[in-house]
Amino acid sequence: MTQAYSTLEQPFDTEEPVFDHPWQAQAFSLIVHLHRSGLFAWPEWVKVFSDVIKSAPPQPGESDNDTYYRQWIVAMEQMVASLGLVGEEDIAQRAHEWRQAYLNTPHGQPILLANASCAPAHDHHHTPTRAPVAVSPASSC
Amino acid sequence: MAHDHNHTAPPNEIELRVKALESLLTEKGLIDPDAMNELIDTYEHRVGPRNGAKVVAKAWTDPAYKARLLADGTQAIAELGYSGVQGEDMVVVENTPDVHNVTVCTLCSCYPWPTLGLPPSWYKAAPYRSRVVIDPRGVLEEFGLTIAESKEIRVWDSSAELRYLVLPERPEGTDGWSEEQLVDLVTRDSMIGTGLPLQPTAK
Repeated sequence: MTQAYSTLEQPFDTEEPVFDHPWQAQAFSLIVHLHRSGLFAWPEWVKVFSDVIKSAPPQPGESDNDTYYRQWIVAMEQMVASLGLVGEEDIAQRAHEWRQAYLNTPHGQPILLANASCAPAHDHHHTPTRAPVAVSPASSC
Repeated sequence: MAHDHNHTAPPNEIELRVKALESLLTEKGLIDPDAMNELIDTYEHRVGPRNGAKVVAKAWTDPAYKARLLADGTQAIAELGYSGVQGEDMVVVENTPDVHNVTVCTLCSCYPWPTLGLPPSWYKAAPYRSRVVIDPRGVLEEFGLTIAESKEIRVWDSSAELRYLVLPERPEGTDGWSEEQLVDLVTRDSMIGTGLPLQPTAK
């Protein structure tokens, strides 16, 4: 019996949360939204998604939902690329920028994409140092 | 790392990629943030197996509705107001004293969202998807559901084109029960086929 099957031993009608993480809900709704906008027919999505499921099987240590949404994201990126909406490099680039934005944003402040290139004003003021912080000694000759 | 307190820890890569795609599509005008929030709320809170339970309870109490449901599931379910993505083509299969039905999606996780909500994680997982077609009786045993050897088990493969909903048998001892009372006996798994409705004594 695989680890993924262990859920079968639990009561089956207990209310489980639909999504484990907000990003799963985002990714799920994104595809449903694009479909409802008429950008693709549902069977087209199912074809892409089921191909990914076949080619990217569960990995050790992953929960069922981890596997499912890892596959969902891969398929989602393929879908938007094949529709010519957003390419993979654009996603990678933007993900990098978001990462920078997090790193540049003081804890507790909203994460804005603009913070990727320019850290917002914050109270981490430098203590005035009335002396050089670095010195490159003059050479004697 | 003197500056630890002055940044926000970035989430993991997969979350960043979702955020990236969402922001790119929003900038292109392809995503409406309000519509996104509405969808999330719908699937988190407003669709779920209770919709399907109402369909089943109505079929148990209204023979004309049951006939319509078995003849054209999509239409009969839409009568109750349940339609939408992954509910476009519904086929309802009826359990009888001779036949037990169970549904699966062998390719991915096609599932009737408007009537059952989003699927449980085991429904989406490879073990269920692959094994229920090979050994349905054995897999149902693992759910604690023993189907008599004398009963045929039919496994239905939901797909992008159509999804199945099981109409379980009405529990005995519920004569004279109202539709509202019966709804509470209909479990999600009884409509997937991996379980049975609750018995009236269990209430």
